[in-house]
Amino acid sequence: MPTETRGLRVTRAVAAGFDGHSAAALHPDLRVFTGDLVRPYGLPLREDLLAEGAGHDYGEMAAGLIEQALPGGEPADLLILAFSSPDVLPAAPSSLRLSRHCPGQPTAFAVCDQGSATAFAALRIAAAHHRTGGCRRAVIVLAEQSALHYRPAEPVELPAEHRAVVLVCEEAPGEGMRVRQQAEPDGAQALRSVLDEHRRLGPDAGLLLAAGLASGDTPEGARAARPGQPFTGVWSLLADRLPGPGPLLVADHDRRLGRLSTLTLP
Amino acid sequence: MTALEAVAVHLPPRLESIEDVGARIGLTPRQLRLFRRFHGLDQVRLDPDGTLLDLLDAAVRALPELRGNEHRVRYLLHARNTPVAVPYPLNPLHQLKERFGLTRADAFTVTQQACAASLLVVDLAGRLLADDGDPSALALVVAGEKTFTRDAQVLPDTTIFAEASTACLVSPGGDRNRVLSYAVRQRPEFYGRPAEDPELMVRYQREYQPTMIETVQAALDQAGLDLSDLALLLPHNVNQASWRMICRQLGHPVERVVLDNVLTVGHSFAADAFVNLRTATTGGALRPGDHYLIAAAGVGATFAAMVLQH
Repeated sequence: MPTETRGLRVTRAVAAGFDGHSAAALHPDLRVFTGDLVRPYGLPLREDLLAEGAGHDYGEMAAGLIEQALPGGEPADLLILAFSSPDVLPAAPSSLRLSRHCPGQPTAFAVCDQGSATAFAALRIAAAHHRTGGCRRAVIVLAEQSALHYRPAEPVELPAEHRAVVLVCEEAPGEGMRVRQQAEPDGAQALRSVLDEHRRLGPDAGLLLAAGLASGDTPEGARAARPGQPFTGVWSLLADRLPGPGPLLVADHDRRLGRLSTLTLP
Repeated sequence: MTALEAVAVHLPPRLESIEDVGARIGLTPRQLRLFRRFHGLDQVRLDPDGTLLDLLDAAVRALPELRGNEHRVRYLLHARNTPVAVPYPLNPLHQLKERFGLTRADAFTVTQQACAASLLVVDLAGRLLADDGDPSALALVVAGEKTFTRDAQVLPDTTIFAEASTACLVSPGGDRNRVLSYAVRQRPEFYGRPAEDPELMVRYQREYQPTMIETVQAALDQAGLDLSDLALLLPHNVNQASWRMICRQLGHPVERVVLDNVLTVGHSFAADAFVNLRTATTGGALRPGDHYLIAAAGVGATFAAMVLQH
């Protein structure tokens, strides 16, 4: 009897924006840490943001979303927090804190330092864990908050609002999700490459584009994220789309790092 | 089976006594006495003028096995204790990738498992490489951090941090330093800031040894080995006292634990695992075929152990 293929794929997604700020944004620790962080680089602090307590805490933002995403208490084996811009708790292991809110108290860690491609790296890690026997259900937490408490050394797009997305990856009959990442410095070429891949998936395939990829006209049949959420934008679109029929291609291009990333859901 | 193909260590030339560090960061005489007499700390390696990029760069330069194999590196991974280590959007890891011509590598940082992150990253690298299915592919795992803020300088009553850095080539198969097992135990009830919360610190210290021992035992069980099968135990360099107590409880001879670097290097975050492996291999303490175990833990709290065969 042939063995049934069971792949890991994103089956559910919950997204939300957050108003206000968290208590951590007013805690003196944030000022101390941030001051020490930027001093060797000679970057000025944003005293205005520190004084008003601007900013949010990724753990606080995502805790309720995890409960929404797993309403039946389905246990997860793995929880990965992915972020690009920093949390207002920059030294804290927020993923561990979140694991307490997650059924199954999964093994938790975080990934960062790959710009918007970091979200895809987290999914790639979950898929590799599944295929090497390390997990049957994974929770991926994507978070960004709008306050950067110093002047950045280089121009960078910051989020317009605090936003988090929780993706639930589960084992299901059939092929699993496929994550691809490649070097591609040119945005126009990145879009052409995505459209080629989309065509190969067939006429019924959906396409979700990050705002940066769809800077011109949005191709027919595609949906583009609204500008302003460089890390979570396209994943908020996925939350609108799921559960829904596949196949579906999700694409993002990090211009600063010249990295094109795609996720194919069967 | 995941294997560690090569390991390089960079020790910054500046060696500071813990008293000098204490004077600089404001430790009390009582704290310093505790660190020296009870915990067995002496000196720490520091690079006060260098950046994080300088530290990681020096470790990769010390890895001759990378030369000519840059095209095989599929992943460049930073195993890091502190989630945010440089001002956003600066990205030393990607500068490192460009500097060493690792054009085919996906580069990202893995964090939030404190100083146990290096064992997590070795496990992750092995899974990613195995899943890719290319037996010739490699992952380059770097570790090492700057002691730029108080929480990265001292953990009260526990350790003083240092700035050694390491680079390690991981392959999906091979004969050198084969990974036989990996166990991780997380105790998120210890999430918080022990440095500012004495009650949390007391609870964490109370649970530290039993959880570490449980994790070591889990890794041994997975590998199908007993403690007596280990030629060596490579700890993280947090202090000597905790490992002496763990050895007493385990019934493991402390002579078979690499503790020298606690005195002469200091606790270099997630880099300790590779610093101590390098000491063990260059000093002849490991012979081909020997089994050894690497253990690490950190606030949050995460405990990890990995059994390997040299």
